[in-house]
Amino acid sequence: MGPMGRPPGGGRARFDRAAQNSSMGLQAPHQEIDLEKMDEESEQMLILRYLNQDNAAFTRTEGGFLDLKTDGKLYQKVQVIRMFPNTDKNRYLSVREGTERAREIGVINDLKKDFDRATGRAIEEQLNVRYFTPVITKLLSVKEESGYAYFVVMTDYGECRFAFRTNNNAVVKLSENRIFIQDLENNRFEIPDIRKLSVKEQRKLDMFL
Amino acid sequence: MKLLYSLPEERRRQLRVDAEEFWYCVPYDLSEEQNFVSDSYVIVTKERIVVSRQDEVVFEANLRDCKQIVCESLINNGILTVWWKDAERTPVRIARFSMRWLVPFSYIARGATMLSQGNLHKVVSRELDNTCPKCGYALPGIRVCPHCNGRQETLRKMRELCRPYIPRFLLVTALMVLGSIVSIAVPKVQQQFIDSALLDRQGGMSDVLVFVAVMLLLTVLSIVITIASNWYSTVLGAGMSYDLRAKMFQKIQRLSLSFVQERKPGELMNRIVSDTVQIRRFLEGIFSDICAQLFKMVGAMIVMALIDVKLLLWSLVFAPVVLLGSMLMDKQMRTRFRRERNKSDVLNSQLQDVISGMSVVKSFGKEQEESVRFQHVAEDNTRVQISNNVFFACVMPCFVFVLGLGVYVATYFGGLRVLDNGMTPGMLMQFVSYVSMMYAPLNGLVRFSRIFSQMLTSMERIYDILDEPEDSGETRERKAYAIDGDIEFRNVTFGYKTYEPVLTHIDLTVKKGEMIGLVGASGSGKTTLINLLMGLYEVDDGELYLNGKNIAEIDRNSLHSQIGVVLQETFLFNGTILDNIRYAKPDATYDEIIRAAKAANAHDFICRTPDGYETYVGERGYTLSGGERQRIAIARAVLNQPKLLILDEATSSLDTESEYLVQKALDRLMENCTTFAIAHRLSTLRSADRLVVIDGHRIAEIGTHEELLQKKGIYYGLVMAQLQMSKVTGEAS
Repeated sequence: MGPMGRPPGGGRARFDRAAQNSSMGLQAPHQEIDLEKMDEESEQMLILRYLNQDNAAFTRTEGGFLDLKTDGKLYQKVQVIRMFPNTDKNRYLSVREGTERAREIGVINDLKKDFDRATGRAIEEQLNVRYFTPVITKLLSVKEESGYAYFVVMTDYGECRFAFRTNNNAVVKLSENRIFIQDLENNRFEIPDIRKLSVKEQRKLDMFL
Repeated sequence: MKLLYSLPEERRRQLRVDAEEFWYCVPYDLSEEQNFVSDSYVIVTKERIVVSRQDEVVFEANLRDCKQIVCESLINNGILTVWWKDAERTPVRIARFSMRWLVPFSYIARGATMLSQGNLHKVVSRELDNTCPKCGYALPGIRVCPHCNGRQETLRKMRELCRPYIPRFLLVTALMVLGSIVSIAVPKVQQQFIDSALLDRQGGMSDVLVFVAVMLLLTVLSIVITIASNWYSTVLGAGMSYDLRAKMFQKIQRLSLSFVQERKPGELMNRIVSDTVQIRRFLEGIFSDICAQLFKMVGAMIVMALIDVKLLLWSLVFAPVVLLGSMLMDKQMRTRFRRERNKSDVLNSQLQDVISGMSVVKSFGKEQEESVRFQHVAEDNTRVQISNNVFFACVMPCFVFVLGLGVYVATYFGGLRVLDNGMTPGMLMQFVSYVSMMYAPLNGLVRFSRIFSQMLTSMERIYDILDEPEDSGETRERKAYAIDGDIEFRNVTFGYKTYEPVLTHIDLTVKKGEMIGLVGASGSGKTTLINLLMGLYEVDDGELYLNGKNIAEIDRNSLHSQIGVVLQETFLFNGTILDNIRYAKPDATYDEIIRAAKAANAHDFICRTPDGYETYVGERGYTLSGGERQRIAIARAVLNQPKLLILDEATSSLDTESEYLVQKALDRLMENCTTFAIAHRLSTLRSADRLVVIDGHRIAEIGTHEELLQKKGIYYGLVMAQLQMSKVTGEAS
């Protein structure tokens, strides 16, 4: 998949005409700029620009963030966002400005292929910080009391306990065997494959499915 | 939420923060190495920000070097970042935490930033914890963890609550005792009859008749007592829940708006409706049912002990087994019912999905796929239902058998005693009847403890509201006061959350009769300013004067009766148009109402409806358009001849022509009335005497339309942009 070209220019022509008309009507010099800016913005909106080793240089800052130099510009503290966080963790990553508007700078198609190992690790670090969904590997204790479930579990982040409401769609089935549990604090836990739990654990869990 | 956790003296020494006073100290729970960590804190003192990990300091900085401390919310977690005054230095991520700590960290980020700017104001968090920080127990909208603090407090409140009802409680209890005496008497009568009349065939016709008569009498008596006791406990439960509801409703009305807004509306409704029902149910059903059985059980045991203590002990052998069985059964039943309910929920939602999206399904030709999907879910549902039904069909009879095990033991040992002549056959029969009376409530007891604890949770939620201290402003005495429209904001600062000010340093003086237009981007604080004017919130800093009187000292009712408000979201009550217009002034004459409707340009459309002013509107009534609703709301606001009129996007749903008409009419009608108007459509504000532009939490520009245009600032930009957009859309279409 290559970068998408400019769309055929129908829309642009119409806006240009409108811009001319209005500037003539108002006689105010700086209005044109506004419209042109918006025009440009809508143009930008359609661009799908892929970043790779050749056109983008990521550097990890001392404070633990990422700077990006691309297209002759330096972007500080960029954000890296997964477009498909649940199925494809290392592909289609949207790289965005660190500002409040968080405009997209470009897209990484495949982290493993398009960047060297060191850059890949630096970007992965950002992803690991941004996304927090502990994976449950073992159910240590499951209790239920007055409409709340109390879980003590082992996760890839270590042991932890959490609580959720039993009648509140806190448990979401992503597919037949993969589930997310959202606790009272809005943390999310994942069980990638319930069949991998022991029969006893599955029976405990079944009550909440 | 707590923003200042304390550290033991030794840890403070290890971290070398023992000499400083802590301003904020909150634990964080995630490490850079993708692990949970414990005993790790972000500490803010007056001068420094320190991050600790166990006994180590992993980051420290002088607040004077920090430009800003930011709490960023990421996906299901958050980070705390320090930005430096020195622009050369890159920002640093100093801590990472799960969602549990997001709110406290957003507060202390704000607090620490304030400290870095030399502002010593301490931020406080009014948010409640979702789970107990100590034990992880869920706190459904309550402040005190029942798990950690025990339930004594709630039980004490329960007693407090019950005090006024003691006579009725005593009555119900007396009825129950009476009922159990009657129940216990029945086997005794039977024993007498068997032993004295039947056993040696000594009795005659009269004995049989007397026995039947007595039994009949006892049965009737028992029925009457049961009815009376149910009747009174229902009255008691309904009465108590009614009183609680009324108390809570009054309390919520008195509480500050911020308390109500901090909680979800559904949740508050739940507390008034379901939590009180929970208490009623407990008193009606469980209390009367279980208590009656318990009395019977105790009575039966006393009589059994009088007959034969040893036999009583033998009969009790199976009690632990029955209790255990009941517990297992209770758990099974709940699990199975829940599973069945979950499955049927899935089935229903799937069905609803397909039916409401039928046109999409059909237009994409996906009927086949949807059928298969549905069949899957339906099969699943059926499987669970069958499993449950089979379970109950098989296990229930076995369980009933277990419940009756005590009877076999009693019969065996009792039978031996009868053969030994230690007991008459009548007494054996009497004894066996008591054994079943004794075992009956055991099953219920298990249920009782669960429902009792649920009831206590409801109690806690109710008392969370009843115990909430009322508006801080209530301490000041408020008096009715006539305003005439002079308003003065003196250095007013306000935010819905203390860490996030919406308005800062607002200074504004408005003269009686002036019309002020408020302009600014969405979220800039225009509506907030108006909320302050209406006295819905109290200012955090500075003062707000109406006619030289501090708004905090004006009685809210008196204030609101002098303010007319039309809000963007027009809310009409269920009722007629007439009811809605005269809501603020129930004694308004028809004449006044028609004048108000005319001023709002509503009269004509009202006359066109079949029922005129008596047209029923509201949720289930006649459907009005957005513009029509707004015009009714305007009529409602002007009816009272308010001294202060607030229009928050009040004419946004009107077309330009009727907006103009309404404005003209309002101008004439409201000559002496101060008006605050918010509008995104700037043409709406052209008749304003002055325009106030709010930007960046403060008043950025102020002046007449012409003055501001000449100034070529924010307002100028907004006007030009709107002009341009209307041209573009006008000519392009």
